Amino acid sequence: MARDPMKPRGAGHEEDILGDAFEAAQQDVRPLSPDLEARILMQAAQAQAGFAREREANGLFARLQRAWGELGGWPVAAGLATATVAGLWLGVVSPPALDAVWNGVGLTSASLDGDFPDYEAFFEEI
Amino acid sequence: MPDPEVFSDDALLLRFARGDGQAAALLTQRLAPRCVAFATRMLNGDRAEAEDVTQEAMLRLWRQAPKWDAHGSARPGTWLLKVAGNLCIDRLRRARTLNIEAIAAPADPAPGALAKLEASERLVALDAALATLPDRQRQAVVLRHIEGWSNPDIATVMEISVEAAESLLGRGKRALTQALAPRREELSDG
Repeated sequence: MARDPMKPRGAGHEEDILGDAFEAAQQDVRPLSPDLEARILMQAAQAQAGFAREREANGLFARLQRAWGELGGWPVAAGLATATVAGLWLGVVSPPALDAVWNGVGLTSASLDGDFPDYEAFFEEI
Repeated sequence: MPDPEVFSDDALLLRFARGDGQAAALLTQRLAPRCVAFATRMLNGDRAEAEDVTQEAMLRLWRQAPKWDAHGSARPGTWLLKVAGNLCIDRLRRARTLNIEAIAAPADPAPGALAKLEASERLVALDAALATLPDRQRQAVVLRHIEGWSNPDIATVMEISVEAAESLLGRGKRALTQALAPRREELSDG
């Protein structure tokens, strides 16, 4: 900001000096030192590598989540768990009411014995 | 390589977040030199410390990139100077706490040392005068009169009201004018 030579040097003169100094400061931007630029870019590369790892982890999680959803998600898992527990309970407790069912189809624990292959002869040969 | 004429700072930061290494180089060339200049003034002329501050501020910008809101109010350059300003104030406070004697004294603006008005001499005088201001006043004055920010932007970045920013600026400018007054003859155009 060049001073107006016609302007008397008075109260506003310091303002002019300050304005000139500010203008000089606005132009006073030096190029980066190569060392600083290299340090900044090295950190940038490290940060980018971190983003890539994060994206990869997020991608795997998304794929697992999608597969889980396609399989039916939590409702299916809950049904499967219920069926498992019910089956286990039937096997362990074997309620008497079920005997009528087994008898109806001709199955008893004794009759099942004969339905499975007998490996005794096989083991004897060995 | 992204065309620097086409891409805004926001766009470059988003490209950086998506893995474009050239975007980092362009942003560094665009933003870091001004950040060093700003931090040097904030730190009373200590350029080495200002470079450390710039490196730290740039690192925070890189880390911010994936979360950057391109439609938000802050621009990367504004955001960077805000972070750099806060880092400078932290360092100045820590230095004062650790050893008040260790703070670099402002350059002696002794009258007579400068025979002729030159831009570099004005700069020396201005930096010496800026160093006499309280940290927050200096931050506001540098942002307004050297970086060319608006008062509302300064208020936002410094987390104060616009009126408080104007008050800081008014007091800062008066103090600078007074500091330069004894040197008006040597600093005048002749």
